[in-house]
Amino acid sequence: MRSLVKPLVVLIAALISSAGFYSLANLNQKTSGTYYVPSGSVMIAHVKSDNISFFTFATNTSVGVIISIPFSHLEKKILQTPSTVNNSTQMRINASVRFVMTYHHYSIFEFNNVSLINILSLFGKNYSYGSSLIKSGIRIYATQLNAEYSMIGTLNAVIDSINAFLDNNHFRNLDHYIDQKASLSLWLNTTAKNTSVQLSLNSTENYTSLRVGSNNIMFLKTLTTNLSEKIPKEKLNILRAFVTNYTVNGHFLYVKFDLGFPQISFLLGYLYDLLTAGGLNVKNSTPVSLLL
Amino acid sequence: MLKIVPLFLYYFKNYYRSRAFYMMLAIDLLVSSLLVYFSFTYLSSIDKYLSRIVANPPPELIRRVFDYVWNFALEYLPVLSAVFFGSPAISSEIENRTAYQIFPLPVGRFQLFAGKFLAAYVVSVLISGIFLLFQWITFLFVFHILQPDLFYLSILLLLVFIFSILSVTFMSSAIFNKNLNAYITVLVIYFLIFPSASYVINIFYGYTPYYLLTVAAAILQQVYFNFSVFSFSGGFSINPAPVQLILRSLWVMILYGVISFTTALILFERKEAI
Repeated sequence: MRSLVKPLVVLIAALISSAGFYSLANLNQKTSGTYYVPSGSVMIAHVKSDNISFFTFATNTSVGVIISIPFSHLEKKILQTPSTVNNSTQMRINASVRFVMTYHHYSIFEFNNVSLINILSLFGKNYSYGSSLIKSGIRIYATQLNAEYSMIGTLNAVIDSINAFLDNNHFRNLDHYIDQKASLSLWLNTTAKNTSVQLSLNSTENYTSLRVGSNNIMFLKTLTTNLSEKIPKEKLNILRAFVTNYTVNGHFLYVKFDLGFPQISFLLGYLYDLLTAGGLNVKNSTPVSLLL
Repeated sequence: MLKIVPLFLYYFKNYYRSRAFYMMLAIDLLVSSLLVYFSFTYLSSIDKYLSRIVANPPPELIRRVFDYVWNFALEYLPVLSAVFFGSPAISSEIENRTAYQIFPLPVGRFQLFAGKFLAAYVVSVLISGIFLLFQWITFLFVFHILQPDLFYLSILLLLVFIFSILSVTFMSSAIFNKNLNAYITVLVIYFLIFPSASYVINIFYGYTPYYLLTVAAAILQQVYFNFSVFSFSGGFSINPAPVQLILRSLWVMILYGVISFTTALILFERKEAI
């Protein structure tokens, strides 16, 4: 009996050690911002700006931006930047922050007298793709997600993000939809009038590629026609001038534009017209209206 | 297995009657008293300090930082306990030549080892428990609410850490035949080599060596406030450590514990009363 004790202890130790080493090798520390993008997102955009990256997401009920800077830096930037930064809107005067609540030990703060677009503009880019977020009625909440990422957005978005991480219910296969190497990468999944549209856009410094997939072949045909022959609007004519190549393959339309990230807001405005001309009423579609 | 119980009781009595126990108790009471004093005197300083990081720090964050400061001491008390109770556990039997009387007894080496280990573990837990009691009562007096769930999580992690560091000291004790060597080895590795290695790796390689026990033990503080002096390359968060970090640290502590315990046992089995 006594002779069995030692081998048994060694065996148990070996089993525990093997399990431990295996777990350590496979334990993902989840420091990336992608783990905070909720699974129910219908729009995701990733923007690279200098050393900072942003994940913008929209679900049917929330809009949030995950930023790759610690919360203390974000807060300092918002509160200490002189209000003259954006004279045209004068939205940042007397910006203040107050603690609102704790959710699963995450401290959630509310920024007052400041809009999401103002905050994003502090980082040196024109984020007009989120222009509808400047609505003054929207309350802006923020929290620190981890050592590297903070987030701002609606209260629902902050809570959705925290839940996405804690419940391991984040957006799966994000890399399949979003190219984090591009200056701007955008994915959109929307449905209007029984027509579902998935839009993927990747923009570098020099050119932009667009892929539009839809269950409605007619919708794609109309888009293609608008691009190739019949141009119903003057705006679309301008847009076509930047089309360098396009192909249709089954349920997908692939378009390349001779427009890079610096002109992205210009392009997005025309894309909106293109989708509308294609017969998709996107005006009331939440993610699209947030985007354009 | 039942033979372990009387052995445990015997060694437990030995431990709590020892000078080492009273020395640890004195350190424990001194540190606890100082922290009680600081808690009441400098509570407002936490608020001021946090204001540099976040404007209007929430009360929950202040409470977590309070526990974070207390757990700085809790991170080191078990190390001292383990060194005092674990380092001489085996080597003293050789050095004092008591092994001549003990080894021929009709008791298995495993029972001897397990009884001694269990006694040292309970005494170490007792020392940390006294400190935790001070922390719990002070928290209640200062904030007028009970400790949050994170406090109990830190206790669970503490129990694993005590097992881990005690195993390391037992292994050191099984390797050396002199108490002083066993003491110094653990102290130098834990307080000098591991922290130095952590700083060097953080600075020159830009990552945190999570596999070092000193780094893993910092989770006792990080459960409240995710900042560690041993992992500065990754920045810090005002939130508690995420579950992945807790699991990783837990596994590192378990691995140190299990491997050291088994090695110590094997060495002890082969030990001769020279």
